[in-house]
Amino acid sequence: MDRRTLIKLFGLPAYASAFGVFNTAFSQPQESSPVNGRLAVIILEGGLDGLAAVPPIGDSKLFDHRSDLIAENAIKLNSDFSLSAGLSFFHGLMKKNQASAIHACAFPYIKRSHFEGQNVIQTGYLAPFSSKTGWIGRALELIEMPGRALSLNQPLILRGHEDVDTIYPAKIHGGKRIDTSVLNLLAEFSDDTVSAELKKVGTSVDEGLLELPRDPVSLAYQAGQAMAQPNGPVSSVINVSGFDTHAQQGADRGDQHMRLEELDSIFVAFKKGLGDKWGDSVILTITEFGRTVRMNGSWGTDHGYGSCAFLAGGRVKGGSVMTDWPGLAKARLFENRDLQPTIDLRSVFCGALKAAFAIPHEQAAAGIFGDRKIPDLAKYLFS
Amino acid sequence: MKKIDRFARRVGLSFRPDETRPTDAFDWLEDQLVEPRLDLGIASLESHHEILKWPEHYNLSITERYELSFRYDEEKRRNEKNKSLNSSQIKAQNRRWARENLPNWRDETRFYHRAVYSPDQVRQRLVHFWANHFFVSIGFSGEGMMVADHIERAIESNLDNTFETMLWNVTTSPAMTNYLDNHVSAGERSDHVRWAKKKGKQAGLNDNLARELLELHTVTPEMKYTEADIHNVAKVLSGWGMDITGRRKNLKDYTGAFEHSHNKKRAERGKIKVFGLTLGSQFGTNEKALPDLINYLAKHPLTARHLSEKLCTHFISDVPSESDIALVQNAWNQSGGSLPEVHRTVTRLAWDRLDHTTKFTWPMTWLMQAIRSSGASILDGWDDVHKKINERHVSQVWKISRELGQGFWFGDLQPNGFSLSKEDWVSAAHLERRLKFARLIGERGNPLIGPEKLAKENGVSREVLQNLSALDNPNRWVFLLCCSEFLEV
Repeated sequence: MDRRTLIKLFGLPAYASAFGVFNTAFSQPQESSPVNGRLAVIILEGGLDGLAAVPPIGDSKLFDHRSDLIAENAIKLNSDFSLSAGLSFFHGLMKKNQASAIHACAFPYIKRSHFEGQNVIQTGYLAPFSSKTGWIGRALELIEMPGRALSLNQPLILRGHEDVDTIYPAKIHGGKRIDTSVLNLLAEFSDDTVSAELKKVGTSVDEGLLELPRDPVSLAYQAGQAMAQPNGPVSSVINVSGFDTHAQQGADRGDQHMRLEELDSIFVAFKKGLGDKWGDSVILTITEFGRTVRMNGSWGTDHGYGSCAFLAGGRVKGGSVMTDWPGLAKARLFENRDLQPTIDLRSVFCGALKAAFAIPHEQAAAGIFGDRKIPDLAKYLFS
Repeated sequence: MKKIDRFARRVGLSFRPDETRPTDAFDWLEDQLVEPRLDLGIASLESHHEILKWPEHYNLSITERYELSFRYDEEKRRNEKNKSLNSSQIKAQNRRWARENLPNWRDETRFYHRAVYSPDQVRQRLVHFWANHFFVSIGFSGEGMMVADHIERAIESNLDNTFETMLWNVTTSPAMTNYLDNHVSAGERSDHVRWAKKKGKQAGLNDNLARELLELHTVTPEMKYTEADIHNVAKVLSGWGMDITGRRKNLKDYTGAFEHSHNKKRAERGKIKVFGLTLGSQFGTNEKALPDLINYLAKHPLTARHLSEKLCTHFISDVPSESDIALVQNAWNQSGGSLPEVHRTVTRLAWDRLDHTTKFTWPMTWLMQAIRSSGASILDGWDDVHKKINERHVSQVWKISRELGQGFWFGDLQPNGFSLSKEDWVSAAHLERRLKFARLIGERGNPLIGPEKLAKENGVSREVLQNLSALDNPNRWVFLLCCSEFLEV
């Protein structure tokens, strides 16, 4: 498999495609495009090893670099790629053209720090720690629609918009009841931030949301159900940790495989919860960086650069691995160690915002990500 | 709230109902900074009024902890060889042995008890700060038994030392070397890698600890170090650390005490050049290289800047002023990183700035203060740890940590620990937990004083007092403990 073959195979333009001049104004999306789509983001914390999740089996160098990390029971997609066996439901979606993997992609951040990387993929800006708001938060502010975090903390990616609730029910037996009258009183005596959050607790009490289970699958299912409602959140974010596989990463079994199985079950839950709304939805995974192409000394991989992203939902142009494959020959690796990304992850983000919220690419690129040069790949990725 | 009470909440864990308020804040602070460690707690929730000293036999040395880990390993191997057990029975047997023999659960209970019952509240807050800075997330596995060693020996025992000494102890601590995989790293020119190459086996460096030592623990990316620098630091670190879950027979591969064990077979050989230093030995291993690297990193100006800013952020303001950071940094530089001097400077500064700053308390700190100041008893005693006597409500500290999303035995955080800034964690879900814990304290905690008395002793505002009297009992506690004066001090 060489790079040219894959470009032809998947019909994707080269990474550095030139694009036109965009408006920088941060205006409302076009009124003729109703916001009826839904966008769920799954943050894969720790740095997903894309070469283990979607092994490029058509690239013979893969076996030279990391023979002990290649799963034997992976699902063969075609002569070039296979898919981790942990993602069997996702594979079923691919077969129905409702899911795809975007390979050799990355946020343009090359310093391999978890904390800077997690910051930039959530703010959407190139410089770490340069913003207090996240790209979905800013998008929700733009379209004036609610969002939901499925975690104890509100992730940075959702900040920048007030109408975002945080659902992660406590399990404190003996202190279960929350009296809304004391909540209201406390809200009166609190500053604006705490007062707003206390009111959200009150809403959750009223809606019975604090009695629900809180494992990731249940949270995704409930979020899907809420997103299917006409007045429900249009976006939700969930975190899956454990992808920082420095040691004992495993192949057919092991940490990486277990995490991917968990991810697969979250796709199942979102689809089930969304019901008919699945047709209007986009589910997207993001991770701070990929991992080294070569295995390290402890049967794991260290921090790298290029990885892969997963897309699912009715608005995804699915069925394949979308990539401009850079190759794994030594000379092709980024700094002689990492998968060289050829797709800017921000293009995928912009495409998702366009597919779900009808935010034009130019507006998302310049207004939300502050970079009008982000390539527009939406037509290749979304229907 | 009275200034002295706010101060105790800002830099400490608040006054218990039976504690006398000091008349001079700085005298109290000086006493607190040298207060000897005293492990107080309760044996059982059934006798919660009896505050006692923790039994000595629960305070395990690092040698006893390693001995337990070897026994655990032997137990697991014995169970695996037992053909009458299926795989789920083996897991159940291993779990039962761990529950009955490993110290993790009591370690974490002792940690919480100290916060609630012991007099050294400021020193404990300093321990919490440093344990968060040098965070290890190894939870309840066999490795989890080293968290207490990490916090109590590597961190707390060095509060009166220099930062360099603490850094050396933390970097070589079994909890850290295992958490960040250094115990499986091997230098490229090490005997182990040479052997592995001959045998066609995988071996080499793992740069996890090297990366976090630079980025999180000391100089930060501001130093603009390169991947090559990280790689070279990983060479210096190779060989340090012994597998916590390893076998007794592997002991022969290590030199040094358990506190700083070094594996010569995994250690890089030859000279290592990094940051302009030439470390290691031309014909030997890297054993003497790490102290030199630690010395360089501990004394680096960017380390002083990073830690000064973090201390100010934690004890003074989420957005500390440059002048305050400079004052702490100056104390750091002038004292050669002497931690007592740095701690004295930042806590005195917190007093000086108290009227003009607020800090939203960490979830864990808030709960410790809520329990401590009310004199409530909602934490299991040391005899309760594995008893199923408290099903009615949450009393096991490991469950409490999980609920709060913060704790040192809680396994879901990253090496950067819990954020110092409220914007990262003040959410509806977090407030929900405070509301529920406050109700639990009021309903089931048997507080030593009533909410009105606590409010008056702390000198809360007239508005809070007036509204308090209009509420029923559990809601009085919810209102008081979750009002802004208790949340943000």
